[in-house]
Amino acid sequence: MIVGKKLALRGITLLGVLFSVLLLVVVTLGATGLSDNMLKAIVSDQLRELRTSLAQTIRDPLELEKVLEQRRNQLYDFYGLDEPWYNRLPDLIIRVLSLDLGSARNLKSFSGSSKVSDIVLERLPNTILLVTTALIISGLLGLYFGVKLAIKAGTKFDRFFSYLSSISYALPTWWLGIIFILLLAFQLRIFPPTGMYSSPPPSDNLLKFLDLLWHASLPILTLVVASIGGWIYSVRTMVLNVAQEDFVTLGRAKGLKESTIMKRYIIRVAAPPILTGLILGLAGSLGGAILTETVFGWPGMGRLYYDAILALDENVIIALTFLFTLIYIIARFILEALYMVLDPRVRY
Amino acid sequence: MMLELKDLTVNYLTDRGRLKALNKVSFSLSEGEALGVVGESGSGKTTLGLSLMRLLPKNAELLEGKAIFNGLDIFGLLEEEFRRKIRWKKISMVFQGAMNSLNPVIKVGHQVAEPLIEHENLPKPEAYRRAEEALEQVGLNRQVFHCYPHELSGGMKQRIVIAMALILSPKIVILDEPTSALDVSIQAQIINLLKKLKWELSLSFIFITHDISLASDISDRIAVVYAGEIVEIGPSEDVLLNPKHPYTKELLESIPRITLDKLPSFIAGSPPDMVDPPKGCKFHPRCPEVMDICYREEPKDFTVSKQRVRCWLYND
Repeated sequence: MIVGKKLALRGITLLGVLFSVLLLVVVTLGATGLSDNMLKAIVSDQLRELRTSLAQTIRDPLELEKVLEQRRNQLYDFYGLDEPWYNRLPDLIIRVLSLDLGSARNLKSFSGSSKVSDIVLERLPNTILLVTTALIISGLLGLYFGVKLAIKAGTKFDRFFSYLSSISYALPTWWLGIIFILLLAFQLRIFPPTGMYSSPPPSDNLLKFLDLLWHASLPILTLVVASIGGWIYSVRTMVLNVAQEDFVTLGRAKGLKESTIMKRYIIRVAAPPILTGLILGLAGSLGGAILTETVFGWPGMGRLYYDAILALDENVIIALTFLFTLIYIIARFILEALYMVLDPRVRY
Repeated sequence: MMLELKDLTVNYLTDRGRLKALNKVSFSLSEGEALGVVGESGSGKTTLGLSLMRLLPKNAELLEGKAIFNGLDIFGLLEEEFRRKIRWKKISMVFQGAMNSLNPVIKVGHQVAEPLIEHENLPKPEAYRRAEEALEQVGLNRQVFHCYPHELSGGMKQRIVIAMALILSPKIVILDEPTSALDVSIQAQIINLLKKLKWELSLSFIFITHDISLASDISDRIAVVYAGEIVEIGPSEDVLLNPKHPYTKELLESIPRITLDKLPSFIAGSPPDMVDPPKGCKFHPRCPEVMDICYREEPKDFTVSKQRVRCWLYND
């Protein structure tokens, strides 16, 4: 009962965080005048087009200006530019909070829809296939090797792999991606350098899927190689920290089997921090990997965010910010609940 | 004799070189006897306990020594055999710092019962019932069974660790500073509990402490350890009232006494660096009765009245 109440309280707090983040984005966009300028630029663009087309039919310059002025007022009204930003933008927050992501101002989905939800739904699977898969692979490998290294801490084996993992940790993903493209795509021609499908894509569904996997291998490899070191290292450290605790020695003294010690006295106790990394990593992976997606021409969420910023598409930026924050908050909530199950010491 | 330890010598390999933790430590322990092992911190007391449990850290090397427990050679057994036959079953241990001795994510009852389940293959309900009895035996409420360690006080945790050490009815319990982290009144409770258990279960104790008065309270015999060596061992009364080794004498002088109109003295100097200990007798730089030979040669063991003393003073 009490636990349920505490969890509910946590949930409300997290929703407050969500609201604050949105407010911050809106204030940043509004108070700096960025929003106004963006919209004014859009309006001027449309008026310029209108002027060129109207110039053919309306000869009188005064008449033309009048029509244009009228149109400008209409557009200002449409975009809400006749009001200050603090009247206009809060509506956006309320709309977004009610899960109505609205439509993009100038970005479009591949099928031509300008609804933000359509655009996101098109991109999200691409990102999951790439970034989430890579995260799961490196997370699991990191877990396995991290524990292995911790058991053999101090040996040559441990030192060798610890060096390797710090190198992996230090590698910039984009650089690694370029090197892999040069080596494996252009030199050895094992993998395609860019894109999601061959052109033209195979018509058979199975072949199409295999083609997709083939295209995904290189970026996934890049992400895994660049992130696995961090995983191995942090798992190793957390396991080692627990392994040095007195209760582990006592467990051994009790004559428990080494496998029991490992499972119940070390990994079980080290699990919460490791899980935190894994779950937050999973949540973060949905946001895509801007650099990798750019290097490999992969149309995922990271690219979308980047494109939205370049195109100054206010609606998409806010919608994505909302989505990413929402995902993070859901992940946090899951973690809070999981912590209570995993670690009896944690009671809020 | 139930346990016979002979010439135990243990080194630690450290970055600075070989640290000589124990040097030719010998003693025997009979059934129902409590041996107090007294010494400063760093003198090798804990290493002694860990050696008998065969739980020395990886950088330790056991150079020499034999430990015979009821005819079984402790150091000679295979690890798996030792784990199944002796560890916790015959010799168990209460570790220093009960605060960290319990797994934070497992209920204490299960932790107490664990050796029964793992060692004796007892079914869970039976093991839990015996664990509850063990908790009662150390003066805890049965309800404590379902608690997690962080929900208990230091004294309660110490009792649980003791219950855990007794669960397989061992012959010998090694108590490594079992009360050092507790306040004085709880300390007295725990000591009384230990005395009661010793008497009821005819347990043998190896009671490791830095507190000689505490050791005298519970021990039948006392071994005084200095720089990895037993410098004096004998019946408690004799060691306390009629100390032979200069270190024991100084140690007893340093205890404050209410009844005596005399301030406690302290031992000049500091304990030796065990990577590079003094030549000859390791106590000679601090010894008030130092002789020429002490600088040159390591002292041998001499028997003086009821004590065994490692000091040249008793060389006839």
